[in-house]
Amino acid sequence: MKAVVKIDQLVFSWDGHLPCIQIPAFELSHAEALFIKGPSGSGKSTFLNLLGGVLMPSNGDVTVLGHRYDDLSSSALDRFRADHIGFIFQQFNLLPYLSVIENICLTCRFSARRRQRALAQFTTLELGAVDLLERLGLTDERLYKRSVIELSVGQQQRVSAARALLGAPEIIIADEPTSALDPKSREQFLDLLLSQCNEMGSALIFVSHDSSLQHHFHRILELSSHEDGGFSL
Amino acid sequence: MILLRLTWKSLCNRKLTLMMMLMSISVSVLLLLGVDKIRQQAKDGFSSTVSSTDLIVGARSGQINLLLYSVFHIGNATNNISWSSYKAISDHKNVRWSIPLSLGDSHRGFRVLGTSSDYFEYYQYGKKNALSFTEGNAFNGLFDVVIGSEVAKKLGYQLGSSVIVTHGMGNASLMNHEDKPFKVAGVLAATGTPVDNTLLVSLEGIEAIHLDWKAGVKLPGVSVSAEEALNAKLQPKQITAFMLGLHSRISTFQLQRSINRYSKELLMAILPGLALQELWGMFSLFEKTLAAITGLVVFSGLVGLLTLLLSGLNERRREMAILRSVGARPIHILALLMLESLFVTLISILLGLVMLYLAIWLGAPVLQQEFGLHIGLEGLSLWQWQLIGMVTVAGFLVGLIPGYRAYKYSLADGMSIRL
Repeated sequence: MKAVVKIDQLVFSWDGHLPCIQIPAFELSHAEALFIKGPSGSGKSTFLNLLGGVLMPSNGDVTVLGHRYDDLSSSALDRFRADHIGFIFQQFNLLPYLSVIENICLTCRFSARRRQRALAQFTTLELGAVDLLERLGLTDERLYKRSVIELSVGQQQRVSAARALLGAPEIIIADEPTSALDPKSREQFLDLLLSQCNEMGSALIFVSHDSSLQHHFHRILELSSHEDGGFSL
Repeated sequence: MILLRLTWKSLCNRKLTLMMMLMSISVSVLLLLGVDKIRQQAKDGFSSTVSSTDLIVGARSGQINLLLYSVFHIGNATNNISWSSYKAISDHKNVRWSIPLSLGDSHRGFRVLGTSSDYFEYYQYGKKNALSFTEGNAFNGLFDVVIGSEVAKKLGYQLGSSVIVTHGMGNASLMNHEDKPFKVAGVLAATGTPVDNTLLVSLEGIEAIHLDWKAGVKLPGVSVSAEEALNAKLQPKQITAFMLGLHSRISTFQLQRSINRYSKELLMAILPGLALQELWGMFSLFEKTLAAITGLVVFSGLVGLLTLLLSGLNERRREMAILRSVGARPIHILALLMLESLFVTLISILLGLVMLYLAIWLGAPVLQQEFGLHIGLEGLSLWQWQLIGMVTVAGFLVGLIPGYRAYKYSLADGMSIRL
């Protein structure tokens, strides 16, 4: 199957100093669930920013869905990212002044492509949001209209996951989304996220320092120290 | 659409900041429009100190000088004019009415004006308002006096109060006409014009108190009592000026020319409206100062808005990063900030207008009664709409500064959510 993400001879360094990250070769296949582990400070977030096109490599290139990031202008890159990548962060992913449903629909308001895909799947965005919430185990309808600050952290992370999944982007990038959860809800969240990514056909790149989660994934990579300094994959 | 919704919800989420922003702009809008309304009103009121009078005639001097002494009772006439000239001109076929004015005496610093009872019938001010009485009525008897509202208030006079007229404008009691006291027969309602500060008596009354005077000095050894004066022949020989109302406005210039060329005496006729405008022109510095002050008030309001927008920005970096991660581009972030300051400005303008009209509605009766200032609930002038337009544009542009900063932040921060 064709690779969703392809990285070739990538080197990234801040301001031309010693390399911070080196990735000789990297590929991510369609609907693959990839676990990337590494200690804190190993450049996990930098790697994700490179994948998202927020940072540009000093050398080498990143190709996502056949588009080389080098070739895209910054606003084209912004659009591309909105259309094809869903993000879940560690914590505080949600806008406090919007309701649960409004937060989930937000990505589809900024990306026409994801809106169309969500509408094709669910007829309205709100129905899609409710459907995803139910699949992620948030079945209590009273929660939907509430402000997100009234939710527990675990509930908030499921809402973030629903938002990242709506409109079925090809890639989901998750940056330590479970670090604020207790072990039980961590497992539960991960199960639900993985099964939904699988169902939507989205590839998942999951970054964490917690290797106890790695058995859920198809493939595991580690950011490890490099002899030139920095880390490599 | 989503940007409008986000701006609105985000604003509502920061109620305290929102209220402070609204306060800073709406108060400056209130002041801006309020001061402009008062300025406009002062100008209108001033320009219509006399209305429906077509010509004012006096001895030849300058137009402002004649206006000042005949209408504002400031300064003195260079010369009097003869009764015969007044008679001749007021009998002209185009003249509908005439009001003689005789100045020169005073009462405790207020001018005493000798005139005819036509004054109460034809004198008009503002939007063709006639004089009205709060008490009593026009003078009937020789020693009746009608007083303006300000005179009544300052001196505490009522109907029947006794008034002793002083010769000339001095406050010194050297030359009082104490042998012939007047009695208050009527009190006028406030007009906001010099009439409020005037005491009105009949021409015959002026004549009577000067029976035993000559050239401004009491004749020694001659004394005419008040009772004798009642029976004396009291034909005025001179007056200071007179006002004319014409049958048709078209003949105004024609009559003005012929008065200016009057052969028996050096006379001058002026159009009060034009003269008043010329006089107001002298206050342009006052107008400019007012405009500058309100301009500064608006400026400081906008600076307040800018401060609040900028100081809130740091706390909102997370909000911006979240928006970026769900696909908002930096340009959206810029638009969000500009929309926010536009929203705040527009709501503030609405609030300012509501406060303005509320203030006018509550304050107008007091202003009318106490100062004779008439401020109506009428709509905004073109200039006031333009002022509002300028504030709106300025408010929108103020959003550029935090907008640009947020734009820069969102480029630098990317997706990373900083705590």
